[in-house]
Amino acid sequence: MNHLDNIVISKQDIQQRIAELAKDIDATYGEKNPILLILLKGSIFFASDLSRRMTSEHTLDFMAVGHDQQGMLEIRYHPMSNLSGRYVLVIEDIIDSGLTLHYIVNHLKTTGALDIQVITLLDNPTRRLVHLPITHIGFSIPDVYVVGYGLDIHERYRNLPDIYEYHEEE
Amino acid sequence: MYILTISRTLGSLGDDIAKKCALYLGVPIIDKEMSFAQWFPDITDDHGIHMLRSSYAFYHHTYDEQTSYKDYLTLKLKEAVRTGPKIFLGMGSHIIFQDHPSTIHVRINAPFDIRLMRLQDEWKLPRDKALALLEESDTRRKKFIRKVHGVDWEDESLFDLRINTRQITVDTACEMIRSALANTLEQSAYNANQLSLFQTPAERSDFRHDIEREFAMILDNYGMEWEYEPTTFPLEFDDEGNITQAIAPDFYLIREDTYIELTVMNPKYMAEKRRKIEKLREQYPEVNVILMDKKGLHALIERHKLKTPIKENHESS
Repeated sequence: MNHLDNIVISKQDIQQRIAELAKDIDATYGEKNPILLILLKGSIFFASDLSRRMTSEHTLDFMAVGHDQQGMLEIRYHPMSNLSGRYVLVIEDIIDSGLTLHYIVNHLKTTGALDIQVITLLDNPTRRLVHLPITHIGFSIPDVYVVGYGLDIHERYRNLPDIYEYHEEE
Repeated sequence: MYILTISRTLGSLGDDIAKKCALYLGVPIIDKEMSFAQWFPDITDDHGIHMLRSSYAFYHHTYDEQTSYKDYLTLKLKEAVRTGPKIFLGMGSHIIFQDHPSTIHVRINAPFDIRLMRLQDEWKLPRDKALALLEESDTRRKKFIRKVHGVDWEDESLFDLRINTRQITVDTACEMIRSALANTLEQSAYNANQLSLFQTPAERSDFRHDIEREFAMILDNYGMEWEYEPTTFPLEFDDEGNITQAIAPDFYLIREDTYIELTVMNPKYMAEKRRKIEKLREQYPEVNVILMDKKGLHALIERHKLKTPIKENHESS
């Protein structure tokens, strides 16, 4: 754990904020039964806690994108639900430049989804390059590398309950 | 309207070649997963999709007492072609469009031992597991073509171009496909000029710095539309009204209506650049401009090159 600095967001703060977000989303969607589209892998814990806090009906589905060996972006897992005519809420762990999410949203627009919105647990707007339909933000964070609560570095630290600042060893 | 069908074996680099062709041609790929995600749910439920995945004979069952799943797939593929050129990956599309005039049917393969080696290498699999996976994949593809379309998977006469990727790279394969496509379209009086754009925007543009080209390639891969230095903004004038200071941001993201200025200067030399950007914002408040510094730029480039992104905070990883 010697790569980890301070706790940036504690588990108590995370859970409290998620409860607020869940209320907002319940109010936003009401009876519309949105599809919560969980982007793998980073947002699984966030989505899981958010879903369990929500009281309105919703559907869970998953999607994964990644870069191939040539650096080209590819969809590695398509949602299994038919998105046509549905309200879709994309669940992201963190947004930086927004390029990946922009690609995903553009792809989703071709599926006939009625409405596409984005919720992110963490937002680092300092490096944002594109406009995104982000309707709910958990926390805005400064330009630091963070791990924990789903966020990883080389698949490590995802299972930490708090969010930490990560630094490379000198 | 043209169609490119690509039939490939596992480990043949067929998926990579299809993706690169799609990027170069600006044409979408339609594959089996897309049909399961977007088309079949309109006519069947999860059980039906499970049956289609596991039993190829199920394609001949009817879903509305008249139309079979195979006919539905054929119908959807033909509908897709009406909206523009397409790349069809697998699905027996080379049989469905066998007689279409503006079509190239490509088969991509490689020797078994090379495909095996690639699987072991890419997926970090032990030899026995990779071998089992490869044999199962070949069997399933062979079965699919025979049971759904009633033809022999290995019938080479159904393909216009066969590429063995034993030594052929992804780029060379794309060039071979481009050439074959251009030749076919010329014969069918199609406007082959469209294929002269067989380069990504980044590849057909001139840049002052390599880092700008690299950034442009990343934008291409994310499907962003951009222009290089399209606008110069005057910032200062002398007494006679001549421009004495101006800035031409490196990139303009068209759909985002946003300019991006890149810099790889060390922070201590960046003050002047920052001042210019601030002036731009003050004098042209309607203009969106982002200054991307060395740290952010390198993080983006590094992330793009790596299979596992590490630097920029893990978007969708």
